[in-house]
Amino acid sequence: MKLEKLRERKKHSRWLEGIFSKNPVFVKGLALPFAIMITTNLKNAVALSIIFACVLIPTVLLASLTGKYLPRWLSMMVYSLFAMALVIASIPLIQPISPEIGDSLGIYIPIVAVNAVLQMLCLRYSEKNFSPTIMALTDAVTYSIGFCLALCLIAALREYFGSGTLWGISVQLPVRLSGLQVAFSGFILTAFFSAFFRFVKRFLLCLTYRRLSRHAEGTAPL
Amino acid sequence: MKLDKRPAPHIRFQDTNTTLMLDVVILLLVLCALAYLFYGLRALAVCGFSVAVAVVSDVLCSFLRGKKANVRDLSPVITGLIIALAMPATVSYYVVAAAVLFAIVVVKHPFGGTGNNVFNPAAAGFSFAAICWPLQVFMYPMPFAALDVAGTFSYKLQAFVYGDTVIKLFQNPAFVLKLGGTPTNDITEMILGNYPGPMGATNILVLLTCLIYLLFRRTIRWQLPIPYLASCAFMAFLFPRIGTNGIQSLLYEMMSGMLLFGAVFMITDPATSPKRDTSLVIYGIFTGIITMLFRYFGGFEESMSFAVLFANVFAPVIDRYNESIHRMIRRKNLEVRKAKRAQKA
Amino acid sequence: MNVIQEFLVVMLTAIVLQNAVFTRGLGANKNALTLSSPRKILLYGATLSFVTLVSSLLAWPLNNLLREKESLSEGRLHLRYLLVMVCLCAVFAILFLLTRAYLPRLHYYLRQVVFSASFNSAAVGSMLIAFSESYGFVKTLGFALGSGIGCTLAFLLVFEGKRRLALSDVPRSFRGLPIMLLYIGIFSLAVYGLIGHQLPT
Repeated sequence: MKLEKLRERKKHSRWLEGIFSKNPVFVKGLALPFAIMITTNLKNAVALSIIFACVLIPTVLLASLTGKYLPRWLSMMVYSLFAMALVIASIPLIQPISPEIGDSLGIYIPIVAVNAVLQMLCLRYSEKNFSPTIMALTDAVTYSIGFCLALCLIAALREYFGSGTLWGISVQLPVRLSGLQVAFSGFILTAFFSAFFRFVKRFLLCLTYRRLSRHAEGTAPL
Repeated sequence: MKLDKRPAPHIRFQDTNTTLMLDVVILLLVLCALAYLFYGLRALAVCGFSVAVAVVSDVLCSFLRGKKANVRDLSPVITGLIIALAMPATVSYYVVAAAVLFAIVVVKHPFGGTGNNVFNPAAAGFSFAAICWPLQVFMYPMPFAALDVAGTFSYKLQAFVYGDTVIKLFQNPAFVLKLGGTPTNDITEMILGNYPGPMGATNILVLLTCLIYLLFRRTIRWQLPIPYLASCAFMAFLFPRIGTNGIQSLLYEMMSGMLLFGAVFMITDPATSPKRDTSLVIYGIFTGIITMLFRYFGGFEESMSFAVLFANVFAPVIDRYNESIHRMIRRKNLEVRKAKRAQKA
Repeated sequence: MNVIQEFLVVMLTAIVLQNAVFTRGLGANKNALTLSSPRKILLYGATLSFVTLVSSLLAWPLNNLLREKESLSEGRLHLRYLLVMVCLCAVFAILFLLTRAYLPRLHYYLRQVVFSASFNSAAVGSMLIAFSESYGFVKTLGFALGSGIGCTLAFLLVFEGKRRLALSDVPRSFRGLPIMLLYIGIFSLAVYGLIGHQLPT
């Protein structure tokens, strides 16, 4: 079996896992409320991604630094409160995008403080004798980028076909599917993207495996 | 003793999937012919287009899933015909195409295709179209209006336009009921289907004949549509939306919209309904109550398809709990019998 | 009598019409959707309902105090976020420590779900919705309890769906999370037929 080599390759891609191979929304199925509900237009998606990154990176950093000294139940409370404070601090950052962005996001802004990506990463890096802080930082950044990509993908599709605009600029379209603006299409689109990501991931894995095995056959004569 | 050497499913009936589906297709074609009488060539064009889109997308989806397309599988034809017949004759072609694509690509194939689907594809497709284009789906032309095959629906006029002529569109009696008024349509006209409504769902007499035909052919079991209609009628009689007369309310509620059409063709889909007879009865009554509740409090005037989707989720639940109740009763009976035998001994 | 009626109406609305999972997507994450038995789901739902109910019980009077202060015009909303979080943390700490000290057997089961059930988007979201709609005390409690129960019922329904889908020939890339999301999506479409208009967020 050539699984050792495959594993080695996986180790290399560990640094960028949050973007594609372990995308927090499509592959891991975390932070779904945002992917489903607020992706009705691109502005919402970008604004929420900014807040998400601003909250996730410092909180995970805090978790990896202080995780050894706190018991688990206390650490969850501390991180959640810290994240909520960061959410409040980062709200002014999204105001330039559009004046009514705060209203259109509504309760989904404070919910960033209790999202599952944050909890998962905090739990992973607050454990004793676990990997270094630099890994925590990398993961926080890549997961934020992956989250942003996922949200923008869904939001662009929903806005383009649902309301016939893109970033607020109207686009000429013969047919408008206004049903895409309703919550259920968020579920359905997320499901289809998730399936697509899984399919591509599996396909790439098979391809790599096949190439490796062929390569091994070529080099080893006996 | 006579033994059957073949492996497990010992099917004694001569009916196959194909013949069961063919029965439904024949009846839907009869309704198509009726729609042709009422609305001319455009009705046939919409039906044909819908079926074509359904079959092509079904074949493509099977291909994507790595399976061969089954020629004997008529279910995409049924889905296409049901969606087309639930629409008005003036509907634009892209609405039909979107509804059919939603039904086949989103609702049918991800759940495993024919026989595995949890939700009724036709109901889901129609619901999607109703949410996206409520004006197109719920505005109907008068029967015997001269419709052109290539005509398009225009949003602004709320009318069907081609060339210079504009055809006026009307609401179904279901909409009047939703607003709280009494429909002015004549009852005999309604029985004969001579009022604005969905293409295939207006002629009550023909729909009842279809129901009786399917029941006698045993394509569908009476345990589903009869309790369904009974519970709908019961609800309409007890809680009338119009006036004070329960009978009038009952007549109008049962005949408006797609209630009867849905009862014959939508809820009886064997893949999405429960399996046991008693669970069928429970499911029928449950669906009836849900339909009437959606009609009374829902956001759309025609909520049959939404109610079917809602009830589909509960079908496996009903089947499982009913099965466990049956088992309990059987066990009790056995114990009683054992006790009697012990007493005798 | 009136109070009870109000409570029940708001609770029913929160369970059916404004179900947290199907209409708002709150509480939908992989941890909750992949719980493996009805008993675990019930425990999860009970914890969620309890935490939401008790923390809204705590947070409502404080939020009212906050509302009366005229000087905080802009910052009121942000202080409300912090207030909700503090109340949630307090309830979580009390629940965790009390069960650890006095009910160790319950604590053993509770420990598996309590983190993800109490720091949950459904708990925070339903409280914030109730406050932004400026419900009264009874209505807030009803809404909090109703959304907890609604979440539990939704997860139970999803679990039933999973059982049904185990019999289906689902394509390989759709198995697991995607088909669950699709299932919820189509049911959400059916619920949308009942609501028919946009919800307040």
